[in-house]
Amino acid sequence: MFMNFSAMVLRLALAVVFGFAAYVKLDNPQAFMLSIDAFDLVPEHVTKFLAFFMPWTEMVCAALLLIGWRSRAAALVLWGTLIVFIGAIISAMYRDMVLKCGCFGEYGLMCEPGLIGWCNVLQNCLLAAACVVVLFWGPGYLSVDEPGGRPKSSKADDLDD
Amino acid sequence: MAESWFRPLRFGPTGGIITQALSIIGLAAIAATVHAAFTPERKVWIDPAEGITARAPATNGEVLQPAAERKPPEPVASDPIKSNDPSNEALGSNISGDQAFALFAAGEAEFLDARYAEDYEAGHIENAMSVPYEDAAQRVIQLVADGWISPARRVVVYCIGGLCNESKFVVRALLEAGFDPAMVHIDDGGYPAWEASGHPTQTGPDFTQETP
Repeated sequence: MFMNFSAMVLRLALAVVFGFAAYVKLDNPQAFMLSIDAFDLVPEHVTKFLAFFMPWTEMVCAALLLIGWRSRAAALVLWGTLIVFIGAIISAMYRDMVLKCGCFGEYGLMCEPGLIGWCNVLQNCLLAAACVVVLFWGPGYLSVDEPGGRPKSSKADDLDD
Repeated sequence: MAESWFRPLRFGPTGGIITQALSIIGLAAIAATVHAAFTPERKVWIDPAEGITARAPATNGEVLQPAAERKPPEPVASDPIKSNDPSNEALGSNISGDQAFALFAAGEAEFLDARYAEDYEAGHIENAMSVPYEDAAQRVIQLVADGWISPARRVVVYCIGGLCNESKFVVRALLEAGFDPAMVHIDDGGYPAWEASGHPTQTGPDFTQETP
């Protein structure tokens, strides 16, 4: 019961956080495009695509997490996204680049919306940990996948088939 | 036997986790493509600038007048200012805080503050003009029309330092307004470095927006 409740809370929290992040980025894709460009990791034409693709990925995942349908897959995608973010931030810090995160536009979640730093890495690690819980436990209560939470039967492994 | 905490990640033709994840990525890619297709193309990327020049510091503290009433800068044949960030060669026009101050002291450049208006009012480079990046294109057009900036004079854009994104927006707006990339620079140090160096600053609203 505790894990089902925890998974539900984490799932909904992830939905809100990534839904908001996606909204901020989609509201001003050019700002996010410049944020990506500043990391100097991908060529120009890829940057433009990523400026739309990444927020839409977050938005789709947030919507799925909110209703609890295909939650584990959405958590897996977000986990992968966060790993990429963490790698990009550490890469920029290693190269002594002074950059703004662009994670939540002008807003901050856990860190001040200023220059990137270890706070952003920690923040993304915590979000990634929440994704791992949803990924390996399930969506918890109040989800389309499992309205009553994760069943005790080992047949639960068949949830996604 | 106790139930395993972990559930496996499996491929499956109809519903495996990884297959579902790929479906989500595909859906997001389609949405992104459609969104991008309906978003107006705007040039974001700044052309390389070469031959950026500056003279030694001279005078300071002049009363600012519209650029149209000032004498255009004379060509200078000193060493070019080069980007101080090798990783940012594509920009080419970013300059150090010291180089920005040299242009400021020589009265050779207009300074544009790309931060939010509240940050500008809390403190900005003396005589800098506020060009919040969100309204960069409109503000640049207005400043040119009012004669506060001119393609004939250098422009230094700054925000919070580093390769901050706000400056790039304003630079892009300047280039779209017809400014020569060689005359547009980003102050790599930004306002924090300028303030920390003890260079002239002031507070309050943008003088170009006050009642004439």
